[in-house]
Amino acid sequence: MRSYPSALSPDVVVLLPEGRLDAMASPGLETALASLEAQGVKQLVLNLRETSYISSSGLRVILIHARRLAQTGGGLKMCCLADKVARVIEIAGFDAVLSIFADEDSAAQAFRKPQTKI
Amino acid sequence: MTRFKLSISSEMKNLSAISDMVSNFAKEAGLSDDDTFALQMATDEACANVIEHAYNGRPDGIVRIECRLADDEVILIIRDRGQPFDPQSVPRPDMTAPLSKRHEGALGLYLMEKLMDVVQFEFDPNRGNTLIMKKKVHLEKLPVSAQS
Repeated sequence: MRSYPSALSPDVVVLLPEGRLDAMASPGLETALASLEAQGVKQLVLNLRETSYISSSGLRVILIHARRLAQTGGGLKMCCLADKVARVIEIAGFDAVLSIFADEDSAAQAFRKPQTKI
Repeated sequence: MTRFKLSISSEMKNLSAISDMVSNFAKEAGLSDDDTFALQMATDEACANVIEHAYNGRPDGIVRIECRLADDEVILIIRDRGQPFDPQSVPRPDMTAPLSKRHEGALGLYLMEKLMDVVQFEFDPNRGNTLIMKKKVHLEKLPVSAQS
């Protein structure tokens, strides 16, 4: 799973999962997020532009890490959701507790302005 | 009547094949994208639950999936021979809790109940678990099987 520093801020790391984030793929997302956390990354953008589907197990991993990063003074923000992914997040009520942005730069920039949410 | 069946081993890697089967069924039945999505998601969540909980992650179980269109209703039946599942034992997530208190469990069951009209679990000691899910659908065109 590819990750890279945000073009806007080197303190923000972008993670780019691909394909289905179902119960098969979620352990891979968990490993990637735990590894970034172990490297000291506190501000993370999860770019879902290449994610075609997300199930409850993918949402669970995201929720756990979003909560943990928030507790350490950082955060997890999401961007570039496909319609079907956005719909699952909405049905699950996660749009109320996670920060979701239209594009990667807006998500990265929001770490400077934590109150801004699109 | 459009009817698809699949018997597959209890491995998470099979979830995408299960999703493809539901998609093929939906295509032949002439379902809308929204209904197809709901059926795929509910089936995916149900089968992941079977593999993780009923079979405890064991890959040697069998999951049987049947999709059926009867008039304007889709009936999904998922059977397994794993441990009995009692949906009442699963607390539903509190959708109003803030991030710090949001519970991440039971989300799959919650999504299934939101996406489908009926979600009904049965257990029989001889036949194992049977999950029946139903959803009224909007047919965009006549099912392939009904065309002359």
